[in-house]
Amino acid sequence: MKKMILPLAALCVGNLLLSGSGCPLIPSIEEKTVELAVGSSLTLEFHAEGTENVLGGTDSFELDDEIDLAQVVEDAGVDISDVHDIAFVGLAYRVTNPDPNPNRRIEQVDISIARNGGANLEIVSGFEDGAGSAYDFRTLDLSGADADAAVDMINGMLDDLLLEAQGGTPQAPLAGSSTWSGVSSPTGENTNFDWEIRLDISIVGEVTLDLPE
Amino acid sequence: MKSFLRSALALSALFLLAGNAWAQLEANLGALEDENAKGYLTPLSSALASTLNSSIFTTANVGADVFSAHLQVNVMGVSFDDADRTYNPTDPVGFQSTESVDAPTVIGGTDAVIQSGENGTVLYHPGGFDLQNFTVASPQLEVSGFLGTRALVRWISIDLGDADLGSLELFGLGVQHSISQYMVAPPLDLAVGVFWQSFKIGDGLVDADALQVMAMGSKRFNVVEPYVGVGFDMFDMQSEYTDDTSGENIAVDFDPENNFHLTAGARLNLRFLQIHGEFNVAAETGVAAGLALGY
Repeated sequence: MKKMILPLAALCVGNLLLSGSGCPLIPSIEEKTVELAVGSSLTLEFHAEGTENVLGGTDSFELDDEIDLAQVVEDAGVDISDVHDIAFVGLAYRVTNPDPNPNRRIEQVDISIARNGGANLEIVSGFEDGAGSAYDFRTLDLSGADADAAVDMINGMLDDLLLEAQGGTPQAPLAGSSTWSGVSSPTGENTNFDWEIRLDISIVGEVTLDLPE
Repeated sequence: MKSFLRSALALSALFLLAGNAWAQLEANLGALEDENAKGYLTPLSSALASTLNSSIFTTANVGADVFSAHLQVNVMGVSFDDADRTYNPTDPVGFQSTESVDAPTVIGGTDAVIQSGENGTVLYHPGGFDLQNFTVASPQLEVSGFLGTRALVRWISIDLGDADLGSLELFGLGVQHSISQYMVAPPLDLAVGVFWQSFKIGDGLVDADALQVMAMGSKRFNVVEPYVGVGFDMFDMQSEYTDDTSGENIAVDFDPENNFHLTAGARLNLRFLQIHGEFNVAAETGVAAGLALGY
């Protein structure tokens, strides 16, 4: 047995001198608590159609119907009771069904958001992009006049979503709506395209794992 | 003796316990877009490149026409540098940061890192597993005795115990050929070898290929046989996972790890038992040891 252990010990001492770390050939297992980040999102779909060049629409949602928070974190191996925080990351958009005119653009787009029939808070202002081709999600600049307040409101809704998922009672209903308006160009011809806004959220919780020391 | 046995048990349990860790790794990746997943996993890529390409060739003494066979168990490990513990994440689509942060890699600290964005938005980056070392164990079968050539096979397949994750599989094939058999009274044994390996975890979570070409010299002094090797390692790794936010499958191609490999070690040649230990300087610096039974 000494013949087996001595070369191993020599290697470990050598490794210790070279790297300053313990011996990788003699691992031990210990329980560690790891903070895990989980992403999720809520996608709102809009349809733009008509001969008028001023377009808009509203999409309503129940946040707890749209995001099953307990299931989202369970899928990632985290118990809902071990979730520490949930926060709003930002907005993204994409065109899913392009306009027949490849030169179609949507301009001067304002987007606002409201909770439970409250005031519309403008989170995006003056946004523009093409709508004549489909593309993947792009970041939406939070340029609205009420962007800070809108972010606070969304974070408040997310806090209540977590509270409800953990068995508590939300401070207010989790109903919300998003409204957009914009100008379609070129004018004088029919507009017909679909686009989406995605609200991204970030969740942090902890898991306990058996890992090498 | 007791601590040695405890360590041996811990080592043998490593693959079994790895199941929940690998599953959690997949969950951690779900919060990261592809560039950040690459940053998060890069230390794992380097560690696999080094450990898989260690402890393959441990002698240049290849019998010309005497049949021999050995079943070997290898343990290969590397220690990480502090620089491997963090990376600088890029902004995923939908997020505009207002500060740069050092986020943990897979081997970094266990605490998640919060990054501030415009208008009070935030993004959490997952914590790591706080690993100082990375260890891989593998069985290896060697058969020699045909025209100075040795054939080597590595194979292991372990069900990770998670229905979503599947199994861990390592498969490798290679040959080593004696050069000194063509020399008159060579001062030491010389051989060249090539070894290819495939390493997979789950359904694409980790999919790696390694190739090593190595020239080795060794000389026997009674039962002790020091050896040195100079080689070149090639390592490619891909990773597939599902993005939590978009629900889309993400495939990440890691930068190939191509580097020279220097190894120095010694082997004890007992009657039916060989024990070896070696130092390796490659993508990461590490050590390896092994025990072989055979004749």
